Amino acid sequence: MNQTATIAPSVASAGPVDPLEDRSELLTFRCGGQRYAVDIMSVREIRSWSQPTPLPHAPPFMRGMVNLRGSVLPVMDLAHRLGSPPTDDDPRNVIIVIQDRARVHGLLVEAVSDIVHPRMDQLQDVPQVGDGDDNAMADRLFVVDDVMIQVLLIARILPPIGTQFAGTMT
Amino acid sequence: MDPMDAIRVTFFEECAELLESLEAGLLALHAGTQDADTVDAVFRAVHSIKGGAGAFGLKPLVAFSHEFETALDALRSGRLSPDVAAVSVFLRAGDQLGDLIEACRNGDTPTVPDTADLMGLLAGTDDTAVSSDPAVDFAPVMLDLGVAPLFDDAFTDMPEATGVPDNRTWIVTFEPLPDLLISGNEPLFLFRALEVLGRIEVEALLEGLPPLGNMDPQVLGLRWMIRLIPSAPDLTETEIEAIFEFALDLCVVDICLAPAPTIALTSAPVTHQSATPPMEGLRQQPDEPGLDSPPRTEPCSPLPPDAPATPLPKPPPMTTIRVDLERVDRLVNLVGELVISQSMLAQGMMRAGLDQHSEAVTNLDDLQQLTRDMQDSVMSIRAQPVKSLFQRMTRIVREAAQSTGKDVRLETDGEGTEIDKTVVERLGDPLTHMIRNAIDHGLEDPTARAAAGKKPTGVVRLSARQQSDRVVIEVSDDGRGVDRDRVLERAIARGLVPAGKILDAGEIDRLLFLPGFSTSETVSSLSGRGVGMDVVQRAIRDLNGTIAITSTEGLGCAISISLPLTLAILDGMIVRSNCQRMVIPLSAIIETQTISAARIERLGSRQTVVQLHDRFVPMVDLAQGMGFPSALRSRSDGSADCDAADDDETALLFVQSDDSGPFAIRVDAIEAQRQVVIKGLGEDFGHVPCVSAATILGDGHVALIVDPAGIAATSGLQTKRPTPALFPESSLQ
Repeated sequence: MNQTATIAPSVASAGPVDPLEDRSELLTFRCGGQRYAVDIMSVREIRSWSQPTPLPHAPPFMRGMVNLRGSVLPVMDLAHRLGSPPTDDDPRNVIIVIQDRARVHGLLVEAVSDIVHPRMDQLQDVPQVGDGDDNAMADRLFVVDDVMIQVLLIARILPPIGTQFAGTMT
Repeated sequence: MDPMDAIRVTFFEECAELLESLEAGLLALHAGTQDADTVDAVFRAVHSIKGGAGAFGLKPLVAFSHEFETALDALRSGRLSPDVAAVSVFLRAGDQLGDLIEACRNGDTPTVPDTADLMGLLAGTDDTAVSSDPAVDFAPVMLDLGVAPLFDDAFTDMPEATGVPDNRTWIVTFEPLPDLLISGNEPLFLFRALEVLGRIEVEALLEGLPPLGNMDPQVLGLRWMIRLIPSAPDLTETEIEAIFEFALDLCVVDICLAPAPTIALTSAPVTHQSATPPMEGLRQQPDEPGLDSPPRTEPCSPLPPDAPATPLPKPPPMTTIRVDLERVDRLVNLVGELVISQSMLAQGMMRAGLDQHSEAVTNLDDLQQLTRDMQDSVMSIRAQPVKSLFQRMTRIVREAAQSTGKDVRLETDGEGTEIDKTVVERLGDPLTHMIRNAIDHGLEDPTARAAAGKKPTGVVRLSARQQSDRVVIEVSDDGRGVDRDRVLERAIARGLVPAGKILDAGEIDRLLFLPGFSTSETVSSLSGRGVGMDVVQRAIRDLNGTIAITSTEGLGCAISISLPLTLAILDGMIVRSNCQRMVIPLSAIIETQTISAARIERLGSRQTVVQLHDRFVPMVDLAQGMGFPSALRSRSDGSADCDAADDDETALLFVQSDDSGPFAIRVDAIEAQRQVVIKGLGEDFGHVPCVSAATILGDGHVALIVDPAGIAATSGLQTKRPTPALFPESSLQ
């Protein structure tokens, strides 16, 4: 909850601070015991937890939907999507509202950490390990304070448009 | 968007309106109204379409509307009486004009030869209509001219003008629109420019002048008729038009050749399209008996009694504005959100334990009242009378009557009933289908009607009325009614009903709504294409409507559609199942029972049936049907706002779905019946089975709106349909 308050202003002020071309601006967060990051330009807002309404016959990582100021926002359990166990219902969780072109989606994560500005040469390519599907979600890696952070590509996380959720029920 | 494209869009929007008024006028004529206002309105509509089409270079449209206008002018001048034959020709021409506009709107050009065809038809029928009409008396123009000196001085120059040996004299009618002066144009300069082309005689037409009291000094009330005798013999219409180029959208200019004196009928209408009453005065002998007098005006009386004949003082439409539908929808959405926020606030204050009579609470009540009013007014912006829809149906009736060879009259009622714009638009196809069905299947042949002792003309009634917060639209006919034996036979033959099954009359009637059902022995071009009432039913269901059929053998059949006033709000039953609140559309619910009163039986290990009246219908638990794992129940049991399922509250909702018969939905509790604002699930959600949309409840939580048909499908309740399962997971059952 208080994270929402602290992060939001820095999001607003971060824009003009560092327009250096060889740096990217990333929002880092914790989820399923791991650290991840997404491009800050794809983050629309960060919301505190509210209990999502589950969707019928939806894939297990789809937590449901919440009320985003009068419109309906689909919420995905990111940890579950990335192969970790489902995130527990916890009022301290936050929902990162991301936007990929016209699509607006909520990502349920444990906590938002920081905004970082790694130089391009600090971002490493993802080493190919087997043919695991989860690898494809991470685009780059980088290390901050000895912690590895995976940079996620929003377009890859979101389920393809028009996915038939039917039939995934067990 | 290119500005020209934007104007083009506006033009076509206007065309649609003009076509409506055209059709309305023609129908009034058809019904026997013969006043000049109606004829003028019709004429004006075609004229405006022609004008706009000219501006966009839509040649086929200009050509056709010109011919149409010419024929209408004959009507206007009284040379053609609006008898049934003539009006039907006009009605058909109106349909063709509509088609043409549609083609132009779609950017099709290959319709040009087609229009030539249509024009030929129009010209031909028009001629026959004229010649076969005894009331019409078209005196040769020469005779007219003989009496012309009887008229006011203004016309004394006419004889010498028509004495010009060939067709070289041009007649230009110039009618400034109100904005002409404001935009800095000056008619005098235009006339001077015309003078360069040849000798001109300018005459002001005074009859459109408003009374002095209403005079707006910024608006020219005058119109002019200019006779141009060009100095160069090969002057073309385009050259004259070029003079008015900069004022084209600020005035109505009509350019035509003056009539050759000896050609009576064929060229006379051409001049007539200039629509100037003095010309009519000239053409008609004042003492000619047997002429239809209304359109005739005294040429120079300053304030003629039928002033509306001139298009200058445009009546009511000034009070409307054109607004992008998207903006209205945004407003509708915002107000919907306002209503939700307001009720969240109210619940919050309630929880805070404020005194009922405290200032905050009373202010909140006021706010609530305001938001309600606001919601109503916003919804009414989207509302539209069904009139336009009904008018479109008259054409369908005409076409269907023609192709079946039946004599059909359409009676409409309640055209002023208003309903959401989207509903109006999406009703077009189902209504067309129903009307075609009524004419094709319902009404008998004239001989069969005679045998049944009915009047030869079959009647199809189309009515609309508002019933509390729904609109009921009914299509009825006075035909033979549903032939139940044949319907049942057909249903059995198609395997829709097991042979030997006994069905009551209502059930047989409802068979008509089954997919793939068609009773016609021969596949006609109208209906009987194998898609039929099931498509209608689906379209109506998609609009949250219900459809019902009542039929009396030998007396006719009525199909009524009940629709919500708006698509943005749904009447729903808020139910709780498995700690989830969901909304079931009220339109789907037939009946509710408490579980203690219901008679529930088990079939096999997993299936349960429940008694509804005299039959057993399947029962589905809502949460299970929606595919919510029962784990959810145990997980959420700890949360405070979820009561454990209480048997006293457990209820059954009997719903009717498209493809299966009625079935029961078991819910943990029925919480309330309420109107909810529909929030569509975007494509982000993909296809979500069992859910038609979502809504946001007063406490801010999102609730799903259940689609009973989806539940029936995913639960495998396809009792009546032997088609292959569309949903493989229906093995759930």
